[in-house]
Amino acid sequence: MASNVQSRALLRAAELAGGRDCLALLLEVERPLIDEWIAGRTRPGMPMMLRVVALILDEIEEQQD
Amino acid sequence: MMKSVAILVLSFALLACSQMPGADRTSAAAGASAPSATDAEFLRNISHANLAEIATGKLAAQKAQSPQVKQFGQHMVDEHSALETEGSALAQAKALRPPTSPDLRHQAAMKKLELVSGDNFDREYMQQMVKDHTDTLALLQAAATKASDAQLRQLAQKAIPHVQQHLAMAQRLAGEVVGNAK
Repeated sequence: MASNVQSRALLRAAELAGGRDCLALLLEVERPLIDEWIAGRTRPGMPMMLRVVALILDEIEEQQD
Repeated sequence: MMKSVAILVLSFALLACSQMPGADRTSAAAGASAPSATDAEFLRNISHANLAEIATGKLAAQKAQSPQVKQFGQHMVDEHSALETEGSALAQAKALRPPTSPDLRHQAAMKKLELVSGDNFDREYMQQMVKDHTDTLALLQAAATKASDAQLRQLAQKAIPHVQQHLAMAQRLAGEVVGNAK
């Protein structure tokens, strides 16, 4: 469940950012780490996951303005 | 672990609530005519493009090696600031809250530029400018013909010659900085 939510949130953030490379740039992490998190092989820490959620929320909220 | 899941679930629940009908997120001015969803998206995307060109232009004015690229960066700041002033005024007149920062795609492109320096910066910046202005021109041409709002069509028509000129300048400078690197 948690892994699925984590992957979905990361995939959505990557889509909004213009791809996984762009998301890696925004989160200031190496691209392979993004792939690992999306695949559920490893987990980002909670502060990182909250940054991802914040990116999604900011973008979606702006689209609704 | 359970705490982590709970925080994520709460975050998405908040998101779902914000999408409920009646969750008014606009700073709607009383009596202003609400634009169509398509027009609102045109205005938002035009604003994002302007804000991105202003931010990257400031970066280029500081970081570029070539005096021509520096000058181009400053020109982008000046021109897109003027275009943004008009765009955000129209958005506010239409009861929309104009964006205050570039969207995630442009933020990522900006981050990429922050990480390079020297001749690489000039090359990356000018290539980004060609891409951005190609996209912005297509956006403005679509707005100029497809927007329902006459003022928005007029704003787009007025901006097109500026952006065409920016694109031509960017293509010429991109050719020069790539040529110099060979």
